[in-house]
Amino acid sequence: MDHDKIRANLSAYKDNELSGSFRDQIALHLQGCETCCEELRKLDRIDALVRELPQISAAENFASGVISKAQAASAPGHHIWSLPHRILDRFLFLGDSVFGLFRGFEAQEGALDEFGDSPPLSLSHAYFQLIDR
Amino acid sequence: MGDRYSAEDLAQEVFLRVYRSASEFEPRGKVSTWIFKIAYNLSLDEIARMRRLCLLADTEGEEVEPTAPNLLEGQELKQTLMDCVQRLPEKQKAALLLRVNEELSYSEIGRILSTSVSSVESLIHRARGNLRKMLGGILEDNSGSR
Repeated sequence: MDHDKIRANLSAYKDNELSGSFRDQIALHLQGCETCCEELRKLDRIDALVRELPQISAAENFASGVISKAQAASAPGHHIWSLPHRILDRFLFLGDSVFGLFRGFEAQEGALDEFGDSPPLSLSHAYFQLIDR
Repeated sequence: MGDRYSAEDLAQEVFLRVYRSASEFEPRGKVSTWIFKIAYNLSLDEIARMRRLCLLADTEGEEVEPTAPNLLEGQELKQTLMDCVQRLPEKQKAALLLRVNEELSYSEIGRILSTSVSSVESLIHRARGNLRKMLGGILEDNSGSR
């Protein structure tokens, strides 16, 4: 198996997401290939650095804030505004989609790697945004 | 989200949505996956709203520029890394963080991002590749210390 094919799958190999036989082939290759081992070590380093990023802890009044918002939302009179709010929400979403399409003109020009990660200009991007809702 | 207060507001909104739509939860999946999905969708909405209002620079799909190789330590290294992660396209960033920090499987991440397992594999592969490109020399410089 060539190095390019191995490197293209090292990320999934590292995450233990490859099927048994393919995983075994990569493991075998790694035993005799220092270059690919170094690639794998670099992926490990990237993950270790990402794990070290500071995590934000919730403030002490976080839970009480959620509870008071939930109480306010279920208070009488709140539902009167839910329909206009939903209409406004859909309208803003439509605005976002149009905005995203226009911004696509100044965005990426590269080929699509996956439909699910398509550029803002494309119809598939608008489609995936719609089905995500 | 850019700052702590926006992130906290959004997190509160996530739990509010969870409370409101608890009846819609299907017990076939994990509760955490469902909550992450709500959080991801709300984050995307909020990022879109921020872009609409502030016309923030959209890094989605932009070519990533390598960071100058130099010896960074401590706080400076963390800040540089944070900037690099922020520059990743939203979907790549979400997939990588869900994998590395939350240790979710590709199939769980796929359910959260509403995409296929192969797409998740590609997103994570590209996220790591982009980070590697951006971190460049930093990755080499810090290899000895680990």
